[in-house]
Amino acid sequence: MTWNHVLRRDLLSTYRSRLVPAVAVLLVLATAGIVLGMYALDNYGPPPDRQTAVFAIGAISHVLVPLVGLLAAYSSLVGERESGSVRFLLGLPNSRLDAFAGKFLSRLTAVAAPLTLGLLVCTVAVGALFQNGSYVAMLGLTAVTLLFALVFVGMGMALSAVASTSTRAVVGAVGVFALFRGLWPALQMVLLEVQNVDRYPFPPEWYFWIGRVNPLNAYVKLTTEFADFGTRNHPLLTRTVATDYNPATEEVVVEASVDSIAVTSEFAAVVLVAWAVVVPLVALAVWRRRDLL
Amino acid sequence: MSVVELDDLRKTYGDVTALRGVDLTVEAGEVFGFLGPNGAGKSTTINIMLDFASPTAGDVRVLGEDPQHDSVPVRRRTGSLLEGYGVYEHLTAREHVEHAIETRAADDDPDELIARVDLEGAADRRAGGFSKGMKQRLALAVALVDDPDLLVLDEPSTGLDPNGARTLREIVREERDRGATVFFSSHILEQVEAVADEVGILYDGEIVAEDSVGNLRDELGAGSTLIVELTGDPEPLSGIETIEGVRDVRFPNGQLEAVCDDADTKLRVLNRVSEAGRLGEFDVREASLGEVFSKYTGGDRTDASPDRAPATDGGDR
Repeated sequence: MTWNHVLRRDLLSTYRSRLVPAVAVLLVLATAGIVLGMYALDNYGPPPDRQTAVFAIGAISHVLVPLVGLLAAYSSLVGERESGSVRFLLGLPNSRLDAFAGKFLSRLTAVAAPLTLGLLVCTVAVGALFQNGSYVAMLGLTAVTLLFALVFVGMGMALSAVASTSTRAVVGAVGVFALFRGLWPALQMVLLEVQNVDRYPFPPEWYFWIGRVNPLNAYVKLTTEFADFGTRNHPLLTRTVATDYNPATEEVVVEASVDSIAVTSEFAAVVLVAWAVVVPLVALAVWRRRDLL
Repeated sequence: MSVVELDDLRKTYGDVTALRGVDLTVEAGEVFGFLGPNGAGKSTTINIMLDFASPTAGDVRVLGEDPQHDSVPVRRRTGSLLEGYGVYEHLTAREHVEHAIETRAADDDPDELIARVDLEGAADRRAGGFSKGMKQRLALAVALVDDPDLLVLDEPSTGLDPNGARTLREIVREERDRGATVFFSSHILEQVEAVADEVGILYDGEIVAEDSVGNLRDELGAGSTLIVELTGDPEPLSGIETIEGVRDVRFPNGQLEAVCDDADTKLRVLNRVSEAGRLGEFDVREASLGEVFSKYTGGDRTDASPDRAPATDGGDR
């Protein structure tokens, strides 16, 4: 097993190519920068609530982490085939698994290390300064976001292993992002139209079975475990409850809710783990058999 | 013991046939010259030997192992300089060599290897700025790490200046003397001729000849050239090309140049010139492998000589 040598060499190469530093600065700014900025700008009244920070991190990460993960990994293997350095990589006694695993871990490190740093700063800031601050909840958010990063670095690796040119890998990466961010919800909408069902107060159960398999939704769902979003639910997720306001008690009462495994956090966790495991394994199987030159 | 054994190796890409049944045996300790024009399938063959590609049909054995089953044991004992080799542009030359030494768990001195390929001055420069020739030298240094039992060199002199080509030949001989087997692929005859013990000629996806350099010259009668100073105009010699065994006739500068398959043919030509009363001084020029090569690859000796073809670095498939 020589994957550790591949990992070290690839990290050094990508670090010197400024890809890693650029990604690192972006990720730290987008997490720690935003949360600290939020605190600094909120000069009146009590400090901001943890819920605000969890929402902000989730909203930014659910777009940024897929983009960064795909960007960091899409060229890792196909790029070596194009530049010819794959003749160096696999001229040495590295197995194709070593090459895949070493590069995967390298690109994952490039994304996960700055993401961890940024989110740990958020953890300290929110735990110490925010209302309802909780170190534990923020660590949980960090862990879930790292799992989410693993999913998309894995998809980038998969494209890199399967595509025959970098251009195709880029197109694939854009396609993957467009699929989950745009096409998937659009498909759900079209199906609702075709089925001609009432989407209020919430759409039928099958809508959630489709929607929550989307890793972006699964991630956002998991972030709601780390702050109280109340009965309004997370603004990025389709409502799963019907509420009514009772003027007498001045309370919002839940009248009905979606009763399905699809909307649970457990299901979201299974979905993310499945994406993280299945996609790289399928790609690895292709990578180990294909012609490289 | 055979180091490389290829048995009816076939490879097709879609409807393009790159290899149409390659049979080849390379014995331990020899320098095997793998000769063929660009596009003959040399790189494809090598890619299959090292598991960069898989054959459509046929068997491969390298160092007694099947690289298609598990190529790591093969590559553990093989150093390779492959055509289209790319460097990591952000790593220095020394870092490349060090990385290879670490991966192979070898105990070579990186500076020694870099010196061996005359790259000392650039050891700490990033390889991204290297010329083609410097990259070739670096790749050769990497290939030599851990004294491989088999050295696979695919068009190794691409981009090398004459000094570099000489260094390459010296290294090939040193490695052979150490006991390594060298698989030397090239479309340039002189280079193969200078180092090879055995030669295999690949043409259009098939081995068309496989023998020692000497035997190829003799048996394939690629023709030594008979040169005769003519004592008069060549008029009476018309039709001399119809003599059996004569492959090519020219009349440059009042001379007759006839490419002959064997000694009897030369005698017949000399008799004919003598009968015509034109016989002056004569000389025999030994065939170069180039002429052998041209014969086997269907090229004409004078205008399609592959050794005059411009070097290209395209993929050979």
